[in-house]
Amino acid sequence: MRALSNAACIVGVDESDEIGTLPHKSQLSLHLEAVTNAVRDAGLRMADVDGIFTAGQHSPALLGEALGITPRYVDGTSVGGCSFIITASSRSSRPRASSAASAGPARSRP
Amino acid sequence: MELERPLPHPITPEARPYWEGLREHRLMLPGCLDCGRSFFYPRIVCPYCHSRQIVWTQASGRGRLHAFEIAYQPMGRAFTVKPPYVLAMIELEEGPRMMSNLINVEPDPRAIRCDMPVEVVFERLTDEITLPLFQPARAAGGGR
Repeated sequence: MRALSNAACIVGVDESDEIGTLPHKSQLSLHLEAVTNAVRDAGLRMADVDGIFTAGQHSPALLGEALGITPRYVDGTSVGGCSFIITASSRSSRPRASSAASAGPARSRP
Repeated sequence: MELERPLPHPITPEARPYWEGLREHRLMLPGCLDCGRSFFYPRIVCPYCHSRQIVWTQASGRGRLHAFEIAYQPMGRAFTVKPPYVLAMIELEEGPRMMSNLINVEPDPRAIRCDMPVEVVFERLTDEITLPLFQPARAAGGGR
């Protein structure tokens, strides 16, 4: 069995409260909904999150500021639909954050 | 009237109570129902305890000048406010800090001091947008 030490592990997954065309919600709100929902799904508190990965309009710094957390590691690399796989694998090879939030591309007309 | 600065567009849904309040000359602040703290800018999650129970309350409009800069050059072509003008970080009585302009004061470092008490002035720009600017508090002991 492969050891989990220094490996990335998905411990919580969720999405924004609503899916679809959501003119009554900003993109930032959808991001925040998805992150708070996923952190709850993982059974963690927001204060446990010390890494943020985004790919899209919002930088991880902006998301961290909106969430009121100070992550030890951030990555906002966007190379298309595989961005999340890349950030996940970079975490496994160079673990910097013990609990990271990865926020996906959310589409809305703000 | 020619506008002297770019305006927010579109207004994000979570900030609507803020702009609606300003139109009625009320400075509205988002706050957290669970931990009781106010914050700025408007968002759907409390940045202190991460509750989603957000409530809006009217701020006193009083605060202190946390930091300032006197701008002698406009920051971009879209800003045509005639320099020098005062870029001000205001610390509101309720706690949050917000970026604004200090007006009705000589843009002179000798006339402006950090921590000086300030109060809100509502500047109507369009039917939709009124901005909260600040001026030195008229009554002594304004602010905290």
